[in-house]
Amino acid sequence: MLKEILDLLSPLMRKKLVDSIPNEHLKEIEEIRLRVNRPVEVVMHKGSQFIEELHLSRAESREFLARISQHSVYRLEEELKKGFITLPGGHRIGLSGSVNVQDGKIKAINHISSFNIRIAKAVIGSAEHLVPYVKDKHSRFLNTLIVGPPKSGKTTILRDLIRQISDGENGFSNHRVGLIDERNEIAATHEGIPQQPVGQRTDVMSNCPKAEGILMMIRSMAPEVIAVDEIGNEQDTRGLLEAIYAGVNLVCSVHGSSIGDIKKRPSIQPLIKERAIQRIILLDAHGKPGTIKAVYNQQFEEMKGMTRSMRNEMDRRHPHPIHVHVGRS
Amino acid sequence: MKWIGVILILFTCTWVGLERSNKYRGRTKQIRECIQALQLMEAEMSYGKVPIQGLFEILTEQLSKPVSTFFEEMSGRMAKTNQPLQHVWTETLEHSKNRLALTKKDLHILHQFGHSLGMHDLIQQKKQIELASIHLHRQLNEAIEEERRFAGMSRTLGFLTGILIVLILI
Repeated sequence: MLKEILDLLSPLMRKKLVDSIPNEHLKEIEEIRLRVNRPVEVVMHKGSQFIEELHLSRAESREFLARISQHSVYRLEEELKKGFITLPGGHRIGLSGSVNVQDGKIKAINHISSFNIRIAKAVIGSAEHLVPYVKDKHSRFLNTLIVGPPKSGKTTILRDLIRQISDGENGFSNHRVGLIDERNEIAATHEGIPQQPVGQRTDVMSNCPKAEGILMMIRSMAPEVIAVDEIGNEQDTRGLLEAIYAGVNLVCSVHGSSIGDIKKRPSIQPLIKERAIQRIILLDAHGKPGTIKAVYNQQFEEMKGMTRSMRNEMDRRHPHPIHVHVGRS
Repeated sequence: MKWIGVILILFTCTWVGLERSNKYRGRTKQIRECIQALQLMEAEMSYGKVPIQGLFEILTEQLSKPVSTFFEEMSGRMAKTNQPLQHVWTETLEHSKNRLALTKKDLHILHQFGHSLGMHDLIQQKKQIELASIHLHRQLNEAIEEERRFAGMSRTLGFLTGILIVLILI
């Protein structure tokens, strides 16, 4: 997996990078950040490390862009507008630099000065500890909002949750899932085909504005659950409400670090008013990604004490080596 | 015996003359092919969004030799190495220099163009293609002019030189 990433770097950079990072840490790399005229930063879960002897020159940055686009930068129109490139294998490269604006709209990133190579790691089973909270008595899925600050594992958990409801794992009944992946982060499609495990019954609409995507999905694909990532503006919410009225269940993620944040968000107000969200799962920024800080129900009451009893009911047919903290203190 | 020598000399000189005249004709043809290649590239880039590797394959199919051989070689080399495209382009151009009838100036235009290939977004890339195309058109006019002036002449000149040598030797 890491080899795919290392192959993108020029031979010289690859060698220096491999030399300066101990072998056992290579596997833990989450991000490699390249910045013009500054040393390369390697981000691991525990912290980051600069590689001082490895600087990216302007020419190298241009060459790198050509390389990641398979020497076809002219194809990157949309990607340069959105600020990231998805590679086969689901890895993504975020871009920043000076932006070219026309008629108030972003046209393209012109001079790219920073690359953030984010290594995709689907953690199968990372949402297992959520299962008891988001399932009703008839093993149906409840409308769920996953809340967490950046890097708390929202997307990873959302992806695994989608996979579980789609495949009917852990006591869920099967659901057809319609995934509207606006930023192409969950399924990480490459030429339309999901590169990440999102389940057998999941249909993906990638790079699509959420509001329109939800309506398109409902009309054409008849999903039972709609999944969206990072809802932000009122338009998204309107789309989600439309889904609720159509009798489709929801799972979505949103940025935020406390339940107060969420209540205050104007864009989420309509959903709260309609009592559309049945479960809110708050993730912890500190500690291991995917740690649950708290779970709230429809009335915004914290669901305590459920943890232990529900944990015992968990389906253990598929033991996973990953042990995730489930909120027992 | 003498007559065999005469025929040999005449034959060689005429052949040299023909070769020179073909070189003039070949240059015009090859510049035309290059311009066509640029137009194809532009169309495939803007409408087909074909990656560069696919582009080389399309060009290999659609053009005729020896320009198509250049793109075939490009495609083969790109598949094998991890080097930047610019590097491979220069190398391939250097390698096929002898096969092409192009002058130093023509090759320089292609070399310059190669340095922009696949490095810019669509708008910039189109401008680069246009620029290379303008340069090549100028070279084409020059090549047509030269062909008109020298192609016929070198053919006859070859034959006449042959006769001259024969007359001197006799």
